[in-house]
Amino acid sequence: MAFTKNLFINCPFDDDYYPLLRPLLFTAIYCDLKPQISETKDGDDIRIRQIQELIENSKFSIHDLSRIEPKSSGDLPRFNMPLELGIDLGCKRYLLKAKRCLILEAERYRYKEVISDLSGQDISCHENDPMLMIKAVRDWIYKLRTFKNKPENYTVIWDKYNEFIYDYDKDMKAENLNTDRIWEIPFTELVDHMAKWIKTNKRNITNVKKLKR
Amino acid sequence: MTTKTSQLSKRLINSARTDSKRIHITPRLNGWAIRKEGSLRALKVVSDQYKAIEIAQTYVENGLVSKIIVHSKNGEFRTAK
Repeated sequence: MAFTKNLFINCPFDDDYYPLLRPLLFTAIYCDLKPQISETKDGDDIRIRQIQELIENSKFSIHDLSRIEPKSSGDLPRFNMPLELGIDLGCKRYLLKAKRCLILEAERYRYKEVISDLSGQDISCHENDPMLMIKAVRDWIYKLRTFKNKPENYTVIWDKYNEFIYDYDKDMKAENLNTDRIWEIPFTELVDHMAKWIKTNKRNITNVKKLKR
Repeated sequence: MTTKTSQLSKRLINSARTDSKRIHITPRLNGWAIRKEGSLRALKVVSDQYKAIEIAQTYVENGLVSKIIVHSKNGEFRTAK
């Protein structure tokens, strides 16, 4: 795995969050990062060990804390996301890894009420809006100044994302697959589809530009 | 990869080649953008979605495009005539 391109994603994996996860993944891939998501590959795997390995092997990470509250009254809060953020911050500190992370929230400063020790970290707010998710992730990647090619303006990525969603919906339906269900295809496969679509689309636009010259 | 998803991969690669006969209307922070598929820049950004559809329809009437796709803020879309 290429440490310098890997992006560990720590977020909820459910249908409610899917409209935000897709633009997050798309933006990361569009900006040349390789999303790493914890998926059960082997029934015997201890999940936390798999997460630790992904974190250790990823220079970048995004932690979305927007869904840590209980889903409904009577439910308990969800601690997985803060736990994985803690592992990542620990990895950076104790393994002395040159890691960079973005913390996402739905509302600005809400995290201060529950995890006030996070003050001073790079925290952005997406307001549960897919377009603002793209803007938050793209702006963070731009500010990293790690890559030779600067990322496109967020409106370009947003427009491309919408184009992808149109094609994805049409092509999934043609194969009798449901686009709204998060587990319809594995994440690694969704990431592969997005990567191929983006690569083909970018190449096509470059060719059109060359023809116009 | 199963046969079904391998087929999906082929379909998506084909779709990614873009169709310049389609026009997309997408939300912006300050209004609605009208953009031909494959282009990186919007033709126009207007404040109102209906106004954007009206403008896109003139491109259809002039034969420049054949399909209008209107996207919503939450990633859904519909086609408009």
